Amino acid sequence: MIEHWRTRDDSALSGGTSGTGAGEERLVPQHNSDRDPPCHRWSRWRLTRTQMAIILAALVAGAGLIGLYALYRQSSDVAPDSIAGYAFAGSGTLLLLLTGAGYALRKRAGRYWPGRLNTILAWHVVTGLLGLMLILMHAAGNFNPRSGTYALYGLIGVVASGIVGRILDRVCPRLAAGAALQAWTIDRAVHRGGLAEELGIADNGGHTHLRLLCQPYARGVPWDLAYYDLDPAIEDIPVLFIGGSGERVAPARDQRAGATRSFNRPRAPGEVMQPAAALAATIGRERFFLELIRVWRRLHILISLVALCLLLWHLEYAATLLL
Amino acid sequence: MYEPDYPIAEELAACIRCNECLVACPALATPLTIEALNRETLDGPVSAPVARFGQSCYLCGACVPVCPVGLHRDAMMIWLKMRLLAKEPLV
Repeated sequence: MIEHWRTRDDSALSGGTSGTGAGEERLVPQHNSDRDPPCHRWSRWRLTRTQMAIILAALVAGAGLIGLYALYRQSSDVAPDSIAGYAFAGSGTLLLLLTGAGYALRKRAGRYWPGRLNTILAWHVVTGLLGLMLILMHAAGNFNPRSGTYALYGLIGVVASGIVGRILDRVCPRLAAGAALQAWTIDRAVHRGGLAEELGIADNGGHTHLRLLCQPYARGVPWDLAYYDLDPAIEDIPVLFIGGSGERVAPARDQRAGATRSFNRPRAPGEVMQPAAALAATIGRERFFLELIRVWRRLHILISLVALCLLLWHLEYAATLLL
Repeated sequence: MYEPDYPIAEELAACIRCNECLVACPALATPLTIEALNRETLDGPVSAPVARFGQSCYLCGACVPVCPVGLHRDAMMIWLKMRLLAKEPLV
């Protein structure tokens, strides 16, 4: 459920809770499920009108192709090298080439308005599926181990990797955000536990992130994007690794007393590493999911290129038969 | 990508609202203004279009190279996703 926020004055009117003093405006959470729009639910599948129109067009086209194939199967000449077979092959190949090259080129070269690329992506998915249907109709149940069958397997691989990629696109970002949220929670708990004080980091009542996120220049360094490194080494991740004097704390191998020692007395560097290791693990998990999205996209492109090579091989083979 | 002390507010403050990130986004399906996205990414109530976009964004990174001032919209989107996932306010 999404937390709605309101100011203290608003909550006071309706009996909400706030721990701030009079006149101080502070955001407090409002737990009111009635006000949560249903669109905020992550599990809900939502389609825009454009997407519904594209799906409808795809269903109509798919049903038409199935009907056409049923008629084709009743004819006397059912073979990949029949007239109808060539027609299916030509239209399917053209559609698949437009699907791949069209999306890639329009994505890089086009100047669009917000939302246009999503529509193009939806067409990319639909035309890819329809193109595969046409190629399957061209095959007409002939799966002999020849160049055409290998090309067909390549196309099936492209479509399958695309479908899996779309599923990963939906699942992985949420898992990555969940890991990032967990990292944030660990970091906040460490600061609230007083560990930051022991390390010589200025404590601000457990709201480190409120300051860092809501007050520009909170770090006291000049604002320059060059200062930010989005891909730090693991040992650079949190401030937990920095000792009070600024020296780097060596990674600990002994975590025997990490869970039992109080926050009120000095710690060995090794104890600090326990939450730090958990933090590094969650950040690593986040990176894994993000990397999975990128790797799968490259894999989809790679399979597409392999399928293109197989298709060219098959076209060359078919040309030797025809010419 | 996201770090616990990532300066989201600083990045949002540096946004020049050119809309290039939204134009380059393949996940954006419904009309959305960059002002609303910036405002609701950081804190406060999240409107339905922004929540929908936050959930549908698949962090492909297409918004990053097109940004003329070099901001990291993908990291901001992770923060928005964290806010949508969180059971408690992130303060």
